[in-house]
Amino acid sequence: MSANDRIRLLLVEDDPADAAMLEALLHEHPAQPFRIETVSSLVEATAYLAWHPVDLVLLDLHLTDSEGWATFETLAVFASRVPIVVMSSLADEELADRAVRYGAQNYLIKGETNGRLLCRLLLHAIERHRIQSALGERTAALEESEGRFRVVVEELADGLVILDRGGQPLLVNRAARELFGATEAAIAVWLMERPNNRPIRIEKPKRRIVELRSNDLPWDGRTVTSVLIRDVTEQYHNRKLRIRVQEAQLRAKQAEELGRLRSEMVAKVTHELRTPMTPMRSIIDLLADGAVGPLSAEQRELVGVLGENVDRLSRFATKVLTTTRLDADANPPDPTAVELPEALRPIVGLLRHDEGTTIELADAAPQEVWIDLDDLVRVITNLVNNAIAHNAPGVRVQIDVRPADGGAEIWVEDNGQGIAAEHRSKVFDRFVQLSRHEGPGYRGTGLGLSICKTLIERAGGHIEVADGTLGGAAFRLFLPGPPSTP
Amino acid sequence: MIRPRVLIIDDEPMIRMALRIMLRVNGYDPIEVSDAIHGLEVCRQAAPDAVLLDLMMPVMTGFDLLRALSPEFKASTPIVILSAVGDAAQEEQCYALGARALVVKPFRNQSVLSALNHFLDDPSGPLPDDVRLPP
Repeated sequence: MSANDRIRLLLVEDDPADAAMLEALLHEHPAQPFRIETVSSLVEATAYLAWHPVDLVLLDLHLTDSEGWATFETLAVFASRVPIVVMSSLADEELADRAVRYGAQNYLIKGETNGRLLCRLLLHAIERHRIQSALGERTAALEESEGRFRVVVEELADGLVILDRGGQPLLVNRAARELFGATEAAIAVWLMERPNNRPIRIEKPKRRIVELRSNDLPWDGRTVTSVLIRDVTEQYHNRKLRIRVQEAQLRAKQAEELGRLRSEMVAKVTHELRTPMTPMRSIIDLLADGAVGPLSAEQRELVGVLGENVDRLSRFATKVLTTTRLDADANPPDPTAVELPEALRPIVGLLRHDEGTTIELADAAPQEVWIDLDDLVRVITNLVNNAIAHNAPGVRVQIDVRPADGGAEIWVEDNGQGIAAEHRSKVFDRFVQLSRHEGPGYRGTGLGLSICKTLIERAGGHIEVADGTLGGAAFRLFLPGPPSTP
Repeated sequence: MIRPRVLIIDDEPMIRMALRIMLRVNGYDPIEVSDAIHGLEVCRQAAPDAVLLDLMMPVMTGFDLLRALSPEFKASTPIVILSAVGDAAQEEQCYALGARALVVKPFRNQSVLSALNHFLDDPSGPLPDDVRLPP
């Protein structure tokens, strides 16, 4: 065994004869495992420990500068990470025994030992200490890790409940307690037999929508069920709103397409009816007026009948054309409480536009209005598309929501070329096309803004051209709040 | 007395025939073409006093012809649209392009004659309801 591998033993013994005897006993070990340093007082021992690494302390409790229990207590502080074996006389074995209870590895009674026993006792003391230390470290690490785990579980944004096979709650974290505002037992009862991954409504203490995900897992040697409870209220509403807006946009597009087809069809049919009637009517007039020769009374009467019938057909054609002309909407509105600006977000998100063109929805405090969401989608879509169609690419469109007396206002503005003052009063008339610019919007039906006006007015609101802040066109829409709000 | 020259532009031969006879017996000098391309040529060369113009014609429409005619021509020569569709959007567009009036087909002869009389002889002369003027 090399000098470096040997056990550094600090022998604290004030009696030189005892010290010499102990050293001699220790040297009896054939492997010479100890490198012994002997000091004769507690002061020396503490000083030595402060500056030198030591593997083991062999301590006489009765020193010139310290006596009995105090000796152990003091040294234990200075050698807190070093195993200590105390030595005592037969008379105070009780004291030595107490030292072992308070952390000394072992004790020996002076004069009751031989070299072999002493060496074994000291080597065992070191080994025991080593094992104890390792265990202590692991326990501390475990405790720390468990503490962290508890914090994580407790502070989890999702609710977490762990139930045993009988449905008894083993763990309920804070999010779960707050979500249900009930006792752990009540939460456990509620959770039983609930489906996974499906929106479930909670009415109290607040109206929320949650989704559950449960899993079996081993827990202290048995199987338990963990239930993760995620609050999906926002996503659920957003998703539902997004789907509703998408459907409304689709319906609006279909209605527009159908309307366009219908008016084209009607125009064609009317044209085909009127064209052959035109020479008939004209020739009947020529005959009836005698412009191509005099008629007898009977002939005049017959020509009159012809004329009446042509007129009847002509009136019919006109009636077909006017009654089938696009009316804003044949369906009655189905108004609901719509939260702004939240409801506008998916509308704006789904509008198609060129790169460079920006559609912004300004941040605003929530306002509730009362309107058929389909109508709102059509109006906003129409206004934004108008702004894009009537301006060069790269236009900026801004949508803003502002509080208003009895409802809310939506402002749709752009930084394009604007609407001339003399046109402001006419923009909402049917069939008016103010071609601000021969862009893609030039070929409209001229019905867009008149439909917007009809839809907004049937919701009890109004729409007007306003003075915006972006320099282009600005439309101000007022919509009333839900009927329940004062 | 000089007969006012009225140019008829319509792709329907029977409509042209009825208009031609009606105009002739009422003291006008009708000339006619069956498409807008020839119509444009005649407008430039024959200097008609008035034009009766159909809208829905193949190749070149009445709208195209209105766009092709010079502002001077449109200022000096009244153009009356004879249309079988006659919806408000179309009517609006005709006026924007320089037409003076619109009469919906099938028309009463008296309506066309009143319109011509209104623009060529007597602006205060009465106009039947089915002769539409710009607002």
